[in-house]
Amino acid sequence: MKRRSSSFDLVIFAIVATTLVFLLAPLVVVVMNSIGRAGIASFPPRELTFESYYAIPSRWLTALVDSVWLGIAAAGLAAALATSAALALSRTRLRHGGIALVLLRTPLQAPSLVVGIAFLQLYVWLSASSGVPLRGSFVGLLLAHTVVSIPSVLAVVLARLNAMDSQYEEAAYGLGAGPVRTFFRVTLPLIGPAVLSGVYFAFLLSLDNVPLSLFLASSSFPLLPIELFTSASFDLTRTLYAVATIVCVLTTVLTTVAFRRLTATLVTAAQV
Amino acid sequence: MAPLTAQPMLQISNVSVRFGEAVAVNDVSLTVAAGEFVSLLGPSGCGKTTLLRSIAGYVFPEPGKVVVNGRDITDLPPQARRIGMVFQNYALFPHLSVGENIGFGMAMQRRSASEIAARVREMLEVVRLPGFEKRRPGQLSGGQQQRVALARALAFEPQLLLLDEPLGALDLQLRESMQLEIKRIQRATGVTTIFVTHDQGEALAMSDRVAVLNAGRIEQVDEPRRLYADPATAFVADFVGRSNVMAAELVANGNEGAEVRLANVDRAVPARCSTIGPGQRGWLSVRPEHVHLGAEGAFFEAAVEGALFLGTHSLVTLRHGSGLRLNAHSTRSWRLGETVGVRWSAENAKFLDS
Repeated sequence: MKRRSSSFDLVIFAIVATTLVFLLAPLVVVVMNSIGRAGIASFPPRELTFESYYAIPSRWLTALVDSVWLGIAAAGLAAALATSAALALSRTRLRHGGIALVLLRTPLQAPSLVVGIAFLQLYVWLSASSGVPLRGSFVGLLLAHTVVSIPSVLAVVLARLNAMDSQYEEAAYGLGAGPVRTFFRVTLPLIGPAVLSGVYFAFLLSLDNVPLSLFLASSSFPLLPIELFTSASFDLTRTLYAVATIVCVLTTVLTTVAFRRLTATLVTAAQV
Repeated sequence: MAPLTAQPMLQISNVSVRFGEAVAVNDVSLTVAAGEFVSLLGPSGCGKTTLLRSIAGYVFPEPGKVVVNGRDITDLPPQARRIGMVFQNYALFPHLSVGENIGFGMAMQRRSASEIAARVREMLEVVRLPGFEKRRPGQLSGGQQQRVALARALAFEPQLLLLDEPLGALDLQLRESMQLEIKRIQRATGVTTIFVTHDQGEALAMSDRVAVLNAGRIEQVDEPRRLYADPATAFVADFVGRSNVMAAELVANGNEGAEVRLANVDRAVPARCSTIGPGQRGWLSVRPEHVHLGAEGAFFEAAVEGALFLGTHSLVTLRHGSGLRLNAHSTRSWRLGETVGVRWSAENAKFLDS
């Protein structure tokens, strides 16, 4: 279908173009800086080279792997907890469901820095009072990242469940399936795409969460965003930009793949 | 129909269902024989779907008792009841194939794969969709989804089949052919069936018996012909078929028949009435096809207010000086404003006290 472009189209085009420029410009700066001549970073680079990539310390790669593991574990755990909570909120008549929902969303509403300090204080108090060494441990980080991941998973899963007719579940019960088999054979396949997209956003949030990890990470379990943040506070080396570029490329590829698959499954699910 | 001495397949005793303050089902009792096809008929909000859901176990009566095949299932969850249900929007599992949908109930009973496959094939034959195992529900038309939903509800050999307005989503032509299909499948399988509908034509055409519900209560349970010919209440008279339901007072009730007085009409008119004493207020129900027009023996005169030609007859709307309106069927044509005498025979005019 072809139609004449109007001034309205021009306005839309201008808005989209401006948005893209502001979204992409910082990325361009990062990538360009990573392939500039060694020394102090400046923009634009005078000479192009990939030598900063060879100079990435192995500690940072360990930190990247650790960050990815933490993100996967936190997003997975948050998915299990948030899906259970969403089921309870949308499929049962909870007495104080509204209050529960508000409480589950608070980690998203409080500033991350405040949440980070709160966790730090809690862990310090726990280790002092009962000797539980959560501070700086993987479990300590996992708990904190899970808590702040729950709201984002909960939001999408709850929206999907509320939009989905509970007759599917009723039909499964009527055909002799108990609550467990109904969940795994009917409910989960139908809300699966929503759970996955929640998990994906939770993973991304965890992967570059500085304010929360700042207080909880330690040298025994280094995390990439903290390593980069610390490094950047002392000097802006090109190596920093090299790592940042790697992370950008990884997440961009992941996002593209994930969105392709998710939009496909979400469109199928929406036809239900 | 099974003889009344046989154990009833379904026995509902004094069932009430409340949602907070609202009473959806109010002290309903109903007995259904094995193999019987019973419709729950009523306007929307009358409690018919809630009553059906209390049989299926999705809502729990307080108080009340539901007994299926001699076993009290009042407190059992739906998965322990073995009752097949067809939902209004079918609720076929969209992520499963037609075969997996139909076999779902048997898979839950942990039957063998070969047994399930054989039964699925058999059910698809019954609903006349052979070879549809691999299709997805989303690829089927409304009528085909309806058949699959029916096959799924019947495949695991339920004790009862419940249908919740299953034809509501289909267009008129498909509705009529599916009425015949459901009846055929019900006869072929012999399953005891409860059918919820707000469409009186559907209920009359398909059922062995019809239970008419209004405001959470059963008004009358009867065979379709008796329901039509002998309504027990003014609500049934008006809801099942069309009827002239007129406010009336019983003035005489003796061996020669009963007489009632209609509001602001000079003379008493003959009626049929069970044992109710004079002075009783109630309603007089006369179906339009039983209202005779003409000067001879007229009870009173009324003016022709409108006439709709319907092919086999005209539906004539009449208005009496008192403001009373009534409908009549007539094969001749009438001029608007023309005055015409009205009468009926006593056996076709039923006095109802409620």
